[in-house]
Amino acid sequence: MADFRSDSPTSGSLFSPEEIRRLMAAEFDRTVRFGTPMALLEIAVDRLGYLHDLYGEESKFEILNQINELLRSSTRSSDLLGVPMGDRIVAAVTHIERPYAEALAQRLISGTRGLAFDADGRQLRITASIGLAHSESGFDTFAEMVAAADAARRSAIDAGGDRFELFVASAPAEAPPAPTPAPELTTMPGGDMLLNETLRRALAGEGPTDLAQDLLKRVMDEVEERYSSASSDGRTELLERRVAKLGDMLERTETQLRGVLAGSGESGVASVYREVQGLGAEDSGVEQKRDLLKAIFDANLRMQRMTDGEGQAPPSQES
Amino acid sequence: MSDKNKDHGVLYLGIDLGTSRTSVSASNGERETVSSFVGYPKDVVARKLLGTDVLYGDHALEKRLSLNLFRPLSKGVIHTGEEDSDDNMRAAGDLIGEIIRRAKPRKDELVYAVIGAPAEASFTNKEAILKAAREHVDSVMLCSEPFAVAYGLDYLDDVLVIDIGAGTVDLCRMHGTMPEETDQLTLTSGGDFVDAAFTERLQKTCKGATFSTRMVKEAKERFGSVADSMEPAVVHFPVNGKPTSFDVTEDLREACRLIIPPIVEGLGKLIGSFDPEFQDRLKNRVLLAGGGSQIRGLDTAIETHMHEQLGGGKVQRIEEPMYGGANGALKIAHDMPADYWEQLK
Repeated sequence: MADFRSDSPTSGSLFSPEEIRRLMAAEFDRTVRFGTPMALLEIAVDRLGYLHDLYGEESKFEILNQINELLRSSTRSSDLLGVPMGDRIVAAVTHIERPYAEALAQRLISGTRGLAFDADGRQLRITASIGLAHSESGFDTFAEMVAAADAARRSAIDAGGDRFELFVASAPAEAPPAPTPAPELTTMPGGDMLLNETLRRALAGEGPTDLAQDLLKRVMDEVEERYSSASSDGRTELLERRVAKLGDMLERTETQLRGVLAGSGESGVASVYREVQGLGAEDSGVEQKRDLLKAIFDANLRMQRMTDGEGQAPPSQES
Repeated sequence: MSDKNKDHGVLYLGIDLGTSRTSVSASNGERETVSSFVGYPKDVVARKLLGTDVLYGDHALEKRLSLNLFRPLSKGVIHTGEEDSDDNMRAAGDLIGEIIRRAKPRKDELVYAVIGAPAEASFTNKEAILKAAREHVDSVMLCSEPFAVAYGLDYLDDVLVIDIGAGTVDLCRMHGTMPEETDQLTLTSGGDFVDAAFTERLQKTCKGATFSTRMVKEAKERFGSVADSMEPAVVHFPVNGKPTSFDVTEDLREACRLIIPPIVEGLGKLIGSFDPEFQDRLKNRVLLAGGGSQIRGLDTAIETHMHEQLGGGKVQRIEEPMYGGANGALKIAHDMPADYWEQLK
């Protein structure tokens, strides 16, 4: 299984991702040949991008590693192959009937909910969306199966996340009679002219009187839909947390700023950064850092004296 | 610089003066990067057309036909003692002035800067950088670029830093004290070296095509990879005026891979001359920084070579390759005691 702690997707694995995909494809071919069942799971952590933005790359890797560990402990080590695809994990499970594959997916969903992830002293709830494709859908190639798992994962996310979706191959059915499309002004022959005329008449009070209200209603519906979508995927909550965190930092900065203004000769705004984040007595390795800073200063002082003609060029080149 | 009327605090700057790009991180929150090109109008007509006496970065490159163009830090250092050394010095000074202006200092605040210099820059070069910087700041210090990267990330003990720039690749061994000459290595196989090797191959592969160094560099920055499987690198170069597509995937991969052996050889030297009890720890704490570290798969490829030649190793790419040096220099700047700055004014 891959280790997400490193940038290298192959760390901790004997095989490269390409090799693992090749092995998965070979496994798929084998199941087709012998008629044995196989499932493919594509797992994605919900809102991982936002968590990354808020808490940093280290946190993202920690979450992915926890999911990775959960996957490892929830499955048979003999028949599972896991490979990272971007921020997603793909796992192939062989010799598994569809109901058991669904049970496995549900176990992973529940297991993810139980993961503890600490960020800035807060316990964050992590959820996952899983796309499940099973060989009983009759895929011809491994690529088709991967695409099906991917589509199912997207469906799970679209449905709000924290769930798994099974890809179901749609049976070719008779297409229902297509509803008569409403005339699209701009796509009709001479539509632009018709649209302009309709707008002109509406503005002049000659056309449909409710045109403006209708447009306004459509805009409001769109805004509401987008707002509701943003709220449902947790963005609002995360942004509120982020604002709270930044507010806390601002408060501390202002406190420091007042202290600087009251007590020090350095009253400039840019100097506050030094006061808030500069080397403090409580910092780790402060003595070591002070020694290093003194060494840099000494080297620069020596160089300044050389350039001012107060000494000879040093034999050593370090600074 | 006169510090008369500068009574409203200090703006601290961390500057990474690079061959390809110069970056600044400032204590007022500003962060800027500019391509290290400086251009002066060739004649009065060009001056009138451009409406300025000096252009910087990509803007200078765009107008290069009307300019005397300088890359003051080509090969990682300011060229001195050559025919155009005065012009180079002027260009370096103007570049430093521009990057400081982009940090938006106020007129009533002092400006203190730490500038990252190549690990093995000569005394003459450091002197040249200091001379150029002093015209624009109130107090300035130099430090080794890879040291700045490590300091910025709080990696001070048993760490090896690889800083891949366009002109040089700097290797620095950190072991809790100030790195000495024996702890640092500077290689000339940086990004420009890759560009030259790539160009050589393109001249053979892309028969009849014409292309500039800039086009080669753009292709490298867009597709550069050392991985066995990489996105196909398809470029469009004109052949007799007609844009023609060329697949240069293999040429680019080969050129990018050329920087790996010298780096691993350098790592071997720094690891081999370290206390044997700590060599394993050092091998497993290798930081990859600088613009060149953005070549895809480079960390893994260096690890693979380390496994073959040194029996193991772990390479970690830093999060912000473009600003790693500048951020570290800024951290040094605001950690530096105030009286040190005063003494260097």
